[in-house]
Amino acid sequence: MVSIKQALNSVKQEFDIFFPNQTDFRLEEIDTFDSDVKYDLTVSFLLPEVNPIVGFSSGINSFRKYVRLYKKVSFDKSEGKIISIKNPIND
Amino acid sequence: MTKRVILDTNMFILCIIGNLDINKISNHKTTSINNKDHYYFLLELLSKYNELIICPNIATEVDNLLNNFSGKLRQEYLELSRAIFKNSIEVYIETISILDSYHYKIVGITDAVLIEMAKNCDLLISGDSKLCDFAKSLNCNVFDFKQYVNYTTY
Repeated sequence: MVSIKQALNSVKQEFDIFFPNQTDFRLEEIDTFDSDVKYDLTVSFLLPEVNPIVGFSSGINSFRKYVRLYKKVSFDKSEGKIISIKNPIND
Repeated sequence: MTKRVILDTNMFILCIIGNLDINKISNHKTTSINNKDHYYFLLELLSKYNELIICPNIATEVDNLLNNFSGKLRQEYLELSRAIFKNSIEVYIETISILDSYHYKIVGITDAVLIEMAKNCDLLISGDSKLCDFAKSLNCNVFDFKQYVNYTTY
């Protein structure tokens, strides 16, 4: 049975492959509290903005260089593997 | 010297749930990654400030998320929230003044209001990563609580 810290580390390693430019990977929410089978987690990370806004306002330039993405991840506790990765419904 | 602090909805909820029943912190969706150490750390942070600044947007969001308690816990929640709001400074920013802002398009009404309020305060404490990203880019003084929790716990 993997701990949530170990699960999160595995998820981050997978995301490093899917999104090699990602930074500031975070655990946002633990969506299931009492399952013996899986962790349902919401994670987020920053990706470089594809179309950064330049010159709109100096104050927001740094922000528009990155965009934060959220993903919902189900993780098998005994197998130590990701079951699924989904976009949050309202994302 | 007056030092003013703002809490976003997530931080308000951690504050209230921790006060009501510290063992329930990790059971609530909003505070699911938090534990009692985070609650005590938040209290320690708040103790350095002498004015808590609130707005109707935050009060409404907090109440919408927490007013489903029942029985004794509900009564305790009502008393606690009443005490907190009575001892805070309420700032009102008209929604219409926010709707044309760039902030609104990025983070929505409540967070755009928080950004405006943060310009006149010493610190914004937020558990919302997107809000923190944006506030930092605007050079607001923000404590990124989710970053702190991830660094120290996960």
